[in-house]
Amino acid sequence: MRIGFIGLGTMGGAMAASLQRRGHDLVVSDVRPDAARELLDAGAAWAGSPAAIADLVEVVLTSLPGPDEFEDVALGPGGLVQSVRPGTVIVDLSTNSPKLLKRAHHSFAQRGVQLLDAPVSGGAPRARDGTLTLWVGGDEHAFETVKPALDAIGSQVLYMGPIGNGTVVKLVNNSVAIAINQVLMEGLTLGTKAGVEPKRLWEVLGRGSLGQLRIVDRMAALFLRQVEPVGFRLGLAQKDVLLARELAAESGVPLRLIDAAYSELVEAVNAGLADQDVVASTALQERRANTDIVLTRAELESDTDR
Amino acid sequence: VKIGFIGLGSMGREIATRLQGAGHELVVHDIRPEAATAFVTAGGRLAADPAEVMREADVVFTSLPEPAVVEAVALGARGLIESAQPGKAYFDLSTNSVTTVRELYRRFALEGVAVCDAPVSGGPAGAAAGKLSIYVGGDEPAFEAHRGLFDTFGDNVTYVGAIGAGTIAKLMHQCAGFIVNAAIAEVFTVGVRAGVEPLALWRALRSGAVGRRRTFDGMENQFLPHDFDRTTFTLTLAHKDARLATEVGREFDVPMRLSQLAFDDMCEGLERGWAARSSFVTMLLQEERAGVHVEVPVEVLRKVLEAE
Repeated sequence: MRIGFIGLGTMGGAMAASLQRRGHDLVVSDVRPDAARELLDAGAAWAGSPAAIADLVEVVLTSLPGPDEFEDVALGPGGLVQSVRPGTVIVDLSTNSPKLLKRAHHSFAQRGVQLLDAPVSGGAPRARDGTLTLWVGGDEHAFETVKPALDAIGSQVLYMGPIGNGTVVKLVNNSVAIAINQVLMEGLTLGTKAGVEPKRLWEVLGRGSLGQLRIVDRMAALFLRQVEPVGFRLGLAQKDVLLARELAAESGVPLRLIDAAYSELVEAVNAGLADQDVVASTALQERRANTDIVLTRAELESDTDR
Repeated sequence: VKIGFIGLGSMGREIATRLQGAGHELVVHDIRPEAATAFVTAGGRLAADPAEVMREADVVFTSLPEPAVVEAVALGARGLIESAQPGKAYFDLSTNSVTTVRELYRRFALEGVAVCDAPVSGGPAGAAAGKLSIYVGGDEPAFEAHRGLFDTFGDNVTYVGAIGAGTIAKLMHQCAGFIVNAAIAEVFTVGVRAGVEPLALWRALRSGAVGRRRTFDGMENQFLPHDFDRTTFTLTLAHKDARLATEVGREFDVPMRLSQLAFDDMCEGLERGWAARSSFVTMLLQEERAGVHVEVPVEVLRKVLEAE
């Protein structure tokens, strides 16, 4: 399949190389022509603008820093929209804004062109290996058309539903992962300043429940909201966070995110949940967000992608 | 009455000076005896320890830096409690912990000594001018009997309720001030970083509806009577403004932690279906989280305001 590829940065360059390695014929473009050198040496063709690429191929992949660059490439002067042919499928691999994706999707649809959002997860090493995870939103038929190309980039290419849904997953993934880093920093600074050597903290936390925790198991517990049998009583969790809070005050360590967690537990106790399992507090956030996330075990264990 | 005074620091010194200046006989104590010199020169007596102060005085005040110090002075070796006698009164002017003042009340009650917590607001300058606000909790008859003493250093003396109530009022007052400071820092940094000149911003903010209002004014219209349905400024409008404001923070890379919390409450309020209610309605969310209902009937509020 001849594929256009726009945006040859760390991620884009590695993904384009994966496509090329697996035998795809590439036409590439980047604001820095230097970035294309290795791909051109290996046989790729160069195009001076997104519009020039759209003129040559019927599958275009974009990997750009963000919404502003995507908007220029897709909809701006010299952008894809200027010369794209009906039947073309554009796949945006960037982490983009769902709102902009929907707007661009609409513009392209009017020209008989399908836009898919397919943000990737896994970082540069897995981009080089072609073993990324891709979450893809947009027209399902278009997804099936380009899936062979996407399989060259990712070992997990997962269809998510309408345009923007791939990005929803990516944004949840990244924002939560980043918040977890920050809450870990609070705990590690507290542990260190309160007297445990960082090296020792690293060794021993790995052997406790936090270190042994698999996020995917924790998510399952939240989706199932299994409050019986009570594993960790919410009232006890509140006491533990309170003790940590007091230790932090004595040690002079601010705990912004852990304080927020403490407030959440107090709220849950006031809502009468003290004697339930700690996962019961999920109900508070559900109510705040006015949405329900509970799954049955059967739903949780059935595999949509199989 | 003979007055005992323990703790002659920056606040205590000024308050004791006011009491002495009003003609009261003083017996004082401080861990730094030199702090007592001026009072002794003016006719007061320096006691060797708190127990001696309590033995000689009818009414004892303490003005001390923190709960541990108050506990040591009141209940420790050679502390006030050792010479406590029925009919005496003890007023703690420190900003103390609620638990500690309640414990003092209980222990001194066993000896027949009335205790009030009476933390003050207004700083050393206010103390020197006799213009402190004093929040009193505890034994009301004892407070009323000695109210004249408080009037020598406070111009706004309020009996708030049972023991600890004065301290709670003071601490919540402080806390409101701290939050307001943090909020002001947040909006000024955003405003200036986004390009407004600080002085111009300050003048503009002071002139607005929030700027003109004293912090706790306006609560009688909506929050206290729980009347969130007659309004010209709906939650929808407030949400829109908060969204635009936090967008400015994002555009100019200024973290807006408090604003974001307030905005999140507004989102939650909209999800509850409160769009057309007053922007104050999000205060109900905190009541729910706290498991408490805060309401004063409108006619009671009206009477209080008319009396002012």
